[in-house]
Amino acid sequence: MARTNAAQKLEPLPERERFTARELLAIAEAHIDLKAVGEADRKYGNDYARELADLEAGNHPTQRAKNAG
Amino acid sequence: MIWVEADDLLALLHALAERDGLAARFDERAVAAAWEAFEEAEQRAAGQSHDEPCALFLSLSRRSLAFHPVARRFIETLVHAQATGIGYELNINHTEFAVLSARIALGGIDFLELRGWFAARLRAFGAKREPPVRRRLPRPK
Repeated sequence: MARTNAAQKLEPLPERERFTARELLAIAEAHIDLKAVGEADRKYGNDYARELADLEAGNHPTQRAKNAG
Repeated sequence: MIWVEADDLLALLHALAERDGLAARFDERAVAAAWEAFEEAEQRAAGQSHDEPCALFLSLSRRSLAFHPVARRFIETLVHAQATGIGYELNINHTEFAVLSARIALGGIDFLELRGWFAARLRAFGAKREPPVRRRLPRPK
């Protein structure tokens, strides 16, 4: 897989605990109400992504209001 | 701090999306975002392992665009994995996670406050569950 420059700097340290996708899915099923969180992702995910994109671009209404004084 | 290889991160993201029939495609940008979050969280926790789930949640939430549209499930999974990895169980429900995520996005909560939230909800595996606090109404004077 091609890595970005930022990712190339990151290498796993020996003491880090590694998890596989299978183990992570088992954790998700044991600890998370996937149906409820999935519903929240569906209902609010697009709005949330838009808000974050606006924040990253400095174009969020709260930022515009702050800049306007 | 936990570590997840690129193929496993992508497999998890796609598996979470496929569970809901979403045709989302993730690539090395999502992997880079997750790895950067691991690195940043490790620095922020500064060797205090019990702060690592909180630090990871903060770092991943700030990059949640990279994991859209399964960001909440992906982030919660990795945070629970981090807690499991240090021998703790994390008792935060998805509504609390959602509120905290929104506060992080809007810059309305810092690491210190978030750390307090997590500290109150981490329990070592095998530890007894605290009994619920019973509050008595004040007696009328």
